[in-house]
Amino acid sequence: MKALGLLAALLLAPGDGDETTAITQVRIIPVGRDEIASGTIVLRGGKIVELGADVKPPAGAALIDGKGRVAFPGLVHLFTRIGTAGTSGGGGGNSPQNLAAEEINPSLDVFERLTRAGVTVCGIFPAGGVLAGQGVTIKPLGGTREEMILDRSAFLMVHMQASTSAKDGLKQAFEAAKKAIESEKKPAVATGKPAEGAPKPATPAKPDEKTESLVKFLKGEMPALVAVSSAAEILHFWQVLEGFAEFGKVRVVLVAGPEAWKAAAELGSRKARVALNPTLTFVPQTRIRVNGAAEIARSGARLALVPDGDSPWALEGYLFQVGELVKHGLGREEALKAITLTPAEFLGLDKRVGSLEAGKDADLLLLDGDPLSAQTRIRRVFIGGKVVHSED
Amino acid sequence: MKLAIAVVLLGLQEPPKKEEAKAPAAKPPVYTALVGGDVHTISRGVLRGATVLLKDQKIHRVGQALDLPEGTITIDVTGKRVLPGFVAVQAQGLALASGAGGKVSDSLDPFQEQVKIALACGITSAFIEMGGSGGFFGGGTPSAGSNAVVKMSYGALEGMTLLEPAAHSLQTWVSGGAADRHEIRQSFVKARDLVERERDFERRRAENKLKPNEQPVRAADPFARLLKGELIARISAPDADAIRRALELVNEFRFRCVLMDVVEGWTLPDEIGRARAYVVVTVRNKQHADRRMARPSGSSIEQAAILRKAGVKFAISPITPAVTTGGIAGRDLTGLPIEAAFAVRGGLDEAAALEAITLTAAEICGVDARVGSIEEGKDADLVVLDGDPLDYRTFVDLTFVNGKLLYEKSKSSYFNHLKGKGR
Repeated sequence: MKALGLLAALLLAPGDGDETTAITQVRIIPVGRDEIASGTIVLRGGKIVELGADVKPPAGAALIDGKGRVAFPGLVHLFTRIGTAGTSGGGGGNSPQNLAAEEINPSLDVFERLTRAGVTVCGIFPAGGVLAGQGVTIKPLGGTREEMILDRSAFLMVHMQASTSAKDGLKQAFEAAKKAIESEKKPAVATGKPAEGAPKPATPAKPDEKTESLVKFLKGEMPALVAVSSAAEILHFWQVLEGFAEFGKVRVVLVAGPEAWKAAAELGSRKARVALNPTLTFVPQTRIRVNGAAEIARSGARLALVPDGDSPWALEGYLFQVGELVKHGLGREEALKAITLTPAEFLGLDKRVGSLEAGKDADLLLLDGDPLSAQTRIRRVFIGGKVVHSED
Repeated sequence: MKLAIAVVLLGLQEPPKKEEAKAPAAKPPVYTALVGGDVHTISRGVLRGATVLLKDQKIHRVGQALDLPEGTITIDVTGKRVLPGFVAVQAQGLALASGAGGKVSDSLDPFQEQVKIALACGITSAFIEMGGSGGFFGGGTPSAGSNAVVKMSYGALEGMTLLEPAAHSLQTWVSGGAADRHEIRQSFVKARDLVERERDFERRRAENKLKPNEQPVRAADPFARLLKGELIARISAPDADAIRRALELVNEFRFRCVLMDVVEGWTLPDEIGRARAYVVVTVRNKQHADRRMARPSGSSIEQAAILRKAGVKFAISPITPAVTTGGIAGRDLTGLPIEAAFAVRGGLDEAAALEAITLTAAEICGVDARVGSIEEGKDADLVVLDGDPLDYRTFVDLTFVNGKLLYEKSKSSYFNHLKGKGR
């Protein structure tokens, strides 16, 4: 019912662009810069126009009284399968051409679950084998696919395994991409006379469907999200990449399991991008608590957090879980970044979302307290300047 | 490696000082010295109050009056024993992330907790296998799966694999039927022919006598590699019958072979010695003599000592070749030196007992050029013990693999609280 009501509200909303909204007297936690104890945020045309302590609401703007409220960027959930039609993807085997975008079912009544929990951007990964396909980034608006999708080919998805078949499969796929890149570089017309018996210079072969995304990855144009359930798998993936060290721009995001902290020293020295569930774990064979997220952040690696599942409970308990990590030693600033700006950066969306900044998308939350407090409720959620969830 | 060779070549052409100035980009070597311990080199006796100097991943110098380079990290081990890390000739469930098929080195888990426990018990290298069915009592010899000798390089995949494959199972020669034995013999005959043709090809190539466009001959199957000495055969041969049967094949084709799980080896030491087969002894593997038989049978605690007298090379392995935390001391790999100590009870001298869990174990694994003794140029895989290596009260204090300190008892959640009150 609520979803229907929202949809109606969206349809009835006046033409984009002109409507100006100002949230006044609100405490602003912009992420990545200093907090503002009380200020104004001006939204127009789906963007944040300006924000600050001294900003005055423009004449004619619709005013929202932000007194007692906290403005915080919408959460970025970089690794989920929510909203996809089922679990079947490309089956086993390597199928980097598969698009998670094709799996999205906009009529599923789950996107509201995300917005209710404050998630305004997510990365949806494709199901499948080791090279599962390409992930898609969306804003969980419901409606049509086109309205939701930000990037149909947002990232390459790798489900890493410590096995010869997985490693050889990856090497072969990267090797094919490397060849494609080399043939691109070679001029189409040979300069000298062709060597005896040499095949005639072919027109630079366009990489096939399967290789295209891998080419983008090697060139640094598309990141790879690599799911690594154990610390060992991290090393095995790096070992595969070592053979392609000449491609220095590759961007890898390790979506790691609970024992990734064991590799913290290595992760830190490589300044790795790591995404973790916000859970505490144990030193093996003991009851000694480990805060893996804090260990990894301390090592110098870049940390993003990912909700611990797609259930309503996991999503709505997310901020509280993040608070627990802070209680157990993760820096507060680090934690707030790890749920907004850093995952946005991992998905290549940090120019658009992830913090409250003039020029960025008006994706924000109005909370009635500190974001990490157990007592805080999310009162309103804006995506592109529009209210997609409201408890006021 | 190539770089090092290039530097050496440069050094031959130019004065050495210039050569040093030419390589500023290289990282300066890290020197670590273990000073003042009794160094059991295994290959050259015990050096009392000596120093072992490590340079990066290798043993650089060993001696009693060493000049240490500037900046050497010095660790005082006065009153302690320094030994090469122990080598497990067989280990189950160790260092593997998954049992998936394929190569062992692609499925290693350097973060596995057992790897850490192995280090705490002084083991730095182990023979492991994957994917095959087990041998005697579900363990022991590889069959069809893959195998490798790996280091307990906790946290590092690089430098973890020493050798893969390290062995080839000929178990069906002993446990199979006539058809299996026929097949194995045929494989050896074929391989012998192939190896000869390969040698002939290489000889003619060296003499530039190849026919135009002649295809090279490669003898690369396991049987050919056995004949060339690149692989060692593993055969589980507990009783005298099985041992004799295995030796028959060894004598016919002259390949390197290790007899695993050997119980009655003490009844025919000379036959084993003449075939130059290796043996793996489990000292406390008890088996009663069969009174219906005229010949000697069953186990003997003196087996290791008897084999030693006959010049047979052997390694010692515990009853359960696994790293567990639930076993009785010495029954599994967590107490490997204790199993060796029981061989001393059976009359073996102490040095030979230590050799059986270090250098000979490394030789059986095919990695003795790299590990198993404290010698200049070998890998810096070392243990520092707080007492006699064969004393049941002794703890491992420090363990180094590839020059890296990977275990310190004083920081271990398993052993730090145990203060050794028995002394």
